[in-house]
Amino acid sequence: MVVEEDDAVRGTRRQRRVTPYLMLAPLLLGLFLLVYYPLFATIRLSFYRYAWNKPQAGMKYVGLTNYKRIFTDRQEFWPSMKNTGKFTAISTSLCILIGLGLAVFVDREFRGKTVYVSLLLLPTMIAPVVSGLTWKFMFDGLFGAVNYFIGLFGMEPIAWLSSKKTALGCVLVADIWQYSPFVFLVMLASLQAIPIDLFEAAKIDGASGWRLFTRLKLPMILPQLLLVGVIRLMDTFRIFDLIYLMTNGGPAGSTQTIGFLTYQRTFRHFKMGEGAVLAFFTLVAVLVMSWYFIKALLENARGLAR
Amino acid sequence: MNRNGSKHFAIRWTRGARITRRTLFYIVITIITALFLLPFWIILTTSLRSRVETFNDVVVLFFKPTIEHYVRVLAEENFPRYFFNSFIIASSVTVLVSYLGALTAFTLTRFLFKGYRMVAIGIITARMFPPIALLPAFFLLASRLHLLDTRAVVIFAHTAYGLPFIVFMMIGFFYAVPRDLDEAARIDGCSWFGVFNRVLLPNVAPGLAAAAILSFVWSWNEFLFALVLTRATSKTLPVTVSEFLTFTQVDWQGLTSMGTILIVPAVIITIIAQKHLVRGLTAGAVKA
Amino acid sequence: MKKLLIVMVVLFFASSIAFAAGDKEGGKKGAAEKPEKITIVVYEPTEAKGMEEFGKIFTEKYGIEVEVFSIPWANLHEKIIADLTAQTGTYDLIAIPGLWSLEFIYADYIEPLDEYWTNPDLPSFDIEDYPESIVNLVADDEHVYWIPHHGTTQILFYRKDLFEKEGFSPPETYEGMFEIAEFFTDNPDYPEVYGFGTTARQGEWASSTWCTWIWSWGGDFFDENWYPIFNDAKGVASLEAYAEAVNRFAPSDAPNWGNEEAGAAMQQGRLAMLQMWPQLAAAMEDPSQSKVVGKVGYAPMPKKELRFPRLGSWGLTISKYSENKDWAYRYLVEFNSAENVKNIHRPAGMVVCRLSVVNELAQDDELVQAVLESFEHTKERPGIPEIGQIIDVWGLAVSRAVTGDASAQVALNDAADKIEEILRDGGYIKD
Repeated sequence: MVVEEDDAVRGTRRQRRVTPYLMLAPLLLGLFLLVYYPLFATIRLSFYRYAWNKPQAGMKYVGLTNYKRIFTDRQEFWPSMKNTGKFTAISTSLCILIGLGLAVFVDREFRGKTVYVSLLLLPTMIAPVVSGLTWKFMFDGLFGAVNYFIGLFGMEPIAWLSSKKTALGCVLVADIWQYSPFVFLVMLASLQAIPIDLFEAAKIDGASGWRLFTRLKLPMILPQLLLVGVIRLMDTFRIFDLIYLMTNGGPAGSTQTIGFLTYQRTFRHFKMGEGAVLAFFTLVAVLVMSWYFIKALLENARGLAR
Repeated sequence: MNRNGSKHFAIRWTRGARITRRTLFYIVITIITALFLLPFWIILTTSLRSRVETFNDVVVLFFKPTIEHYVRVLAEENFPRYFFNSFIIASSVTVLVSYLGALTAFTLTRFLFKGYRMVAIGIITARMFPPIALLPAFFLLASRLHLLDTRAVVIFAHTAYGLPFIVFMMIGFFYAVPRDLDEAARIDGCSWFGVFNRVLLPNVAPGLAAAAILSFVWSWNEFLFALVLTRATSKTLPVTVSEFLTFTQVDWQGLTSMGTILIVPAVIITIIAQKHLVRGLTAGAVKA
Repeated sequence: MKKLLIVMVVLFFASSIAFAAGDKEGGKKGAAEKPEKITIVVYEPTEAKGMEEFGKIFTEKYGIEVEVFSIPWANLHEKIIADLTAQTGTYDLIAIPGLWSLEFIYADYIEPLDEYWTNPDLPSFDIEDYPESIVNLVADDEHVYWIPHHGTTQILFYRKDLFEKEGFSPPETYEGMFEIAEFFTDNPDYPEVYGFGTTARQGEWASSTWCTWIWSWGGDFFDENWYPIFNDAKGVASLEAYAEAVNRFAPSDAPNWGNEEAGAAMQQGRLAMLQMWPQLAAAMEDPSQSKVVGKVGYAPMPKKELRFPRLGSWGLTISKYSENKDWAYRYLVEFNSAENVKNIHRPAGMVVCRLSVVNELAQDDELVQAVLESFEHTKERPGIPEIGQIIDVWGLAVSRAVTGDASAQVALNDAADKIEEILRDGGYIKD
């Protein structure tokens, strides 16, 4: 049946066209000032040589020199890319697995649920400075809790943060610990949203366990899953504060990431041009990586609305 | 074995086994929770002991606690002011983000205007840019407008940066609310704003509660913007936490005490809102 | 859910009232003769304490308020640069380390102080009472730009109780130090003790401690034309020795040590010797922190070719954008009077280098004496604007050598290539 386009219901054509823009205006203005203006300024800056702590040298146009310098840097950029790739892939996937797994596990009625859920959410509530320093302390070779526990099992203490093999893993542990509760929260809520009648219908059909999950639950929570996936992808790609607190990029550059390099170039070395290249690169890389997922998210969300 | 037979068997078997399954569940969930919370135990015990005791014996179950570090941290001259700043900022951000987030999601879902996809992608893209890179330019802009060291500028920065995620989360909720409700209100002569405020918001209020918690916790703990944009007047608590990391050492006792104090408001809000929270995010995924 | 909406609306109005009313306090300095307030920015709580203490006296005397900002050391540099770039004039007095010397001078951020103390209308100051090497860090041919209230060198902390027991005295040479370290490491009589510790974490920490070694070996970083020479035989030898010391005598996670971890290890009695800054001595003598109270001795770092520990220095400068320069100068000069150095700086825990005071103290204080002896040969890395990046390159090289990721020669060669590029880009190397 076709619903007649009634002016009284939909408002005038003009009103319809203008209203969305009016409503979006505050947000778009805010985003423009905070993000887009600096973004364009940064892109422009990437073609200049400008040191924040050398105002007397001014800004000098250098074309693609900064880009060339960054992308041909064997010592810092490419090792950082490798580490970032590893970090992003492992952290995002494990956060999602653990968060989702926990959510599925907890998704049932039991006494004390509120308490358990609140406790499981604690890691996301804590200030990152505190958690970063605490994890560093826990991985300390002489006094750390981790070595204490493996000592109970009779193992020799390990120099976690001083070994190229394990340092990145330690940062990963700290990151996953802090952010899987975030995934857990979003996933749990989505799971609890699935209407009861759909559950009953599925049970009658004999579905249970794994099939129940893949056929019923997963499709229902897919948009939220995609959203947290994209968010985690973004955030792990840009990580730097945990690294600064725990290892400062060491040992021997094994925990140096793109996010950390960007931070170093901008706020430690004050080389704004090169920092701008890295920032712009981060934006493009994240956009490319998450393009597919964002598109899927938008389609999926619309699909659910039918 | 036919279907009936297996069901019958299952019922008899499960009654006895149900108890063990439940206990097993509790054991597993308790172990998992305990493992997750181990760092907190260390934070707590460190805040209640002296430095020499902490390093001597890092994991303990029984010890003699002292609250002197909490007292020291709370007695800091400016603590009340920083707490106030943090609280005002986080609350304002929460309100703004929740409301504007809902408004934006509403606009993106109700008006299929040309380029709505572009706007949506533009919004999520804004969050992809590293905050550390946009800070220098934003700092200069803020300084020229003489807005540095005001709570307002931090609120602005937090709001603008926190919105994209909330917007996307709320989009799901708004899709779930059937269009008939808007139509009905419009027929009654409601403007779009009215439809939003009076009809839709109440229906997605659970989602708003969820958004509120996430944005409160994030703004409450946010460090980078606060560090660069404030000095003494509008300094926030996360910035003071970083002051326990000095050139000579980490003041563990101060750090862990302050850290524990900081976490309390966030936890309170989580506990209160947990009921709403769970129901909240759900409304978004409901199939119409 | 109406309740929730009402709560939110109320919160919104409450917060908008709260943040609209009286948001920005103070900060308005009139062009009047006497300012309301002088602001100082500094990096360490102990220094802030000393400055606040004196600030009270100053306020009583002149009626001018003194506000001291203490910003975490990790964030100080970028915060100050941000403010100076925006020319906000927020800070009248800025504490800078010798490491930012040329950066600040070239950028014209700070006032030449000699013009002030030679000005007949303003109080004079006896800058001669400070070690020349330190004063000259932030000075050029014509002017002096700071008064270094904090000047010190790296020294050797050692367990005097263990040394006494074994009949050792503080090592004069690196060979001697290695021998002692070897004795204490893996020694069944001292099961928990390691011979030596230093801060080898990648970045500023590694670079800072390695400085002492390369200079003591007779090497250096750059020649007169700014060409990197630290990858020559002496530089490589010093790095190899450093790496050996860390790997043989230090606990296994010393490669990730900063001051916190190294200090903690010493406090827990796990190290026989430690290369460290004197500021940490107070922590060794605090019973709530340390198990080795009264057991730590202080000596200068040993010699190789020379005894050449790295110099650490901080001093107050007057910001070019300050609107209260004359009064800031008065504070600065009075703060650093010999009397105040003795009676305010020291009790606050600050490290002092005013010679008349130091010479007096050195008579009873082993720590001060160690530093005084070390002043004979000490310096800091060149304080050019690019030094931040250069330090990170050195820090990476040291970390690579220590962890065995690359040999010392290869690591230093790579560093030299990168640093040469940086210096060429900055216009230091011209050819």
